[in-house]
Amino acid sequence: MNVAADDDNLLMQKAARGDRAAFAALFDRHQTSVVRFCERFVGTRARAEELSQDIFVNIYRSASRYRPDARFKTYLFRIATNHCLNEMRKGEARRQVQEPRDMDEGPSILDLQPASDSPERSLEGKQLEAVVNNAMKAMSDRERAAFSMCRFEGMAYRDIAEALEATESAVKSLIHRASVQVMQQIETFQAGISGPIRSQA
Amino acid sequence: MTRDFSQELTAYIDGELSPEARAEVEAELQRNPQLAAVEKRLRRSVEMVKALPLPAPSMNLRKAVLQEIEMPAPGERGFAWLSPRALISFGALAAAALVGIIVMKAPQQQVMGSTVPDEELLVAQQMDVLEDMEVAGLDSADDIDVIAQLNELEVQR
Repeated sequence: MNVAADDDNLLMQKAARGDRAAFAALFDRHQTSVVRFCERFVGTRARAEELSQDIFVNIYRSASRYRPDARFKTYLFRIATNHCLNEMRKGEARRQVQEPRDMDEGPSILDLQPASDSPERSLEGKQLEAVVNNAMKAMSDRERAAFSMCRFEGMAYRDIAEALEATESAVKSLIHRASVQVMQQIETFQAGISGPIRSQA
Repeated sequence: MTRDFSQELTAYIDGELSPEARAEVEAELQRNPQLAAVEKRLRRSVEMVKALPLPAPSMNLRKAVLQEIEMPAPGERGFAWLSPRALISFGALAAAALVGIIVMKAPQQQVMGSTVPDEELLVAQQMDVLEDMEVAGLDSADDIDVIAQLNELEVQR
């Protein structure tokens, strides 16, 4: 990665010198990503925006301590992840989630058959989003964070590992488990099997 | 021991495998139709999730964030009055107040020779005027000037 070429880092360095316009530009660039990331944890848009506000204000106030030794986005999501995990630990946003299924104890992915061999039904955007959201509720916090950064932010495993303070190997496992869960939920929904997905969607 | 290539599928789809590992998975996909079917299903769901729309940006959030960064941080609020700008403002205000007090007190001290508060002086002066009006047999507010002129003549004598 060419850190010097990371335009976000330049904006952040300006923000550290009190340039609020530079910070506003950073905010505009990343706010939707951060809100969506937070919403996956806290469940509501309103709370996600409150949490995002804390994250961005925290970043501005600690800008003088920022060191551009990684992509700004990695730094941003490390802070966002910590905020979200703290929020979950506080219990305010803790929902009843299933224990993540241990892939070693369950059937192999090769044994998992598609829920239906019938012609594929198209999923509208909102339906698909509801299905994915429900699948993500069943993930562990770290699986959810890794999956979000990978699928929605397009971040590389190495950057996700840095944001989560984990190894790349651990991130690879987290994303794989999460991706299999989402695949199964989508297929179950498409097969029209009534279950928790439908009742919660 | 047989290697479980299924664990590599997501990283393979995400383009996160080394060239060697990628080549191994591709070779296995050719050999194993069951693995190839799972790879196809996984790839399809990954593409569907990636296509989900981003939420619309929030102008309220933007306004709230940009307003909050204008304010001092919570930890600094208790000591905000110690900032150089606040100390200069406070000093200037205190100096102006001191000058005002000196200016107001100076004539009063010359006349009265004491430091009686302004409110009490005003009441005392009004009492004097009322007493003088009573002595002079006057009862109209229009006659206050007459009393003032009489007092002035008395001071000159």
